[in-house]
Amino acid sequence: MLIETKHFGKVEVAEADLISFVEGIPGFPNLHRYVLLGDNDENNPFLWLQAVDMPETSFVVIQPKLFLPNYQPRLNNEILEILEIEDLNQVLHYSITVVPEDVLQIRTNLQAPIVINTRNNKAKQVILNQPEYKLRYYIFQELKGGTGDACANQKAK
Amino acid sequence: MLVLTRKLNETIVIGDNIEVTVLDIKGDQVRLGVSAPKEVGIYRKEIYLEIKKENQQASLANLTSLKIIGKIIKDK
Repeated sequence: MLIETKHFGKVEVAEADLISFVEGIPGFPNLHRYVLLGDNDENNPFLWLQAVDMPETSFVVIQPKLFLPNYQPRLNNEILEILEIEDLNQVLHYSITVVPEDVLQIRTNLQAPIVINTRNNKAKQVILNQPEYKLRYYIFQELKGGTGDACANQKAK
Repeated sequence: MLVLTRKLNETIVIGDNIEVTVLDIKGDQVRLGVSAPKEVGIYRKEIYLEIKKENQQASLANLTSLKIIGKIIKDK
């Protein structure tokens, strides 16, 4: 299907690649279908989570484990049921990222990752109860100052 | 807003399948138990609002800024 996107014009996407957010995400409750788009630059670890039914809604996302290998959200049984997760190895986490005008202040939301069950492409923005994962994780500052471990950085402050 | 007075261990029912029970009262703190269908999100309001605000901020990102970030990462 052909969809209109915020940054890449019209893009052809396969129905099978659509990601379904049953509840929408906080702030955007009426948008349920998204797709992940890259810019074909393999050096760029960021992707765009583009709303299928609203061209102007698109979020920058990244997999936290790319810079925090130990990132491990705890998903409770309700989340597992809603997303029909049977195997945690089939789950991907992305964090929604704010790119301000001063790009060095880029920050990403580790407290409320997008959790995708890759088996059925059901997804949800899950609010974690893990204080070590910050709502505003300033990527460049944290990585420069720390060991790359979110817990260690949290304790250091 | 509907205002109801409840005592310890008393419950209010919202619709057919949501219940809120007062579990404990200590000074200015009240512990509530909420039982609801699993698809109903239940959050502390201040956290939910922060995440909503952060999502709205995130939706303002532009392609040029992200390209600059990509370049910074590449040069590192």
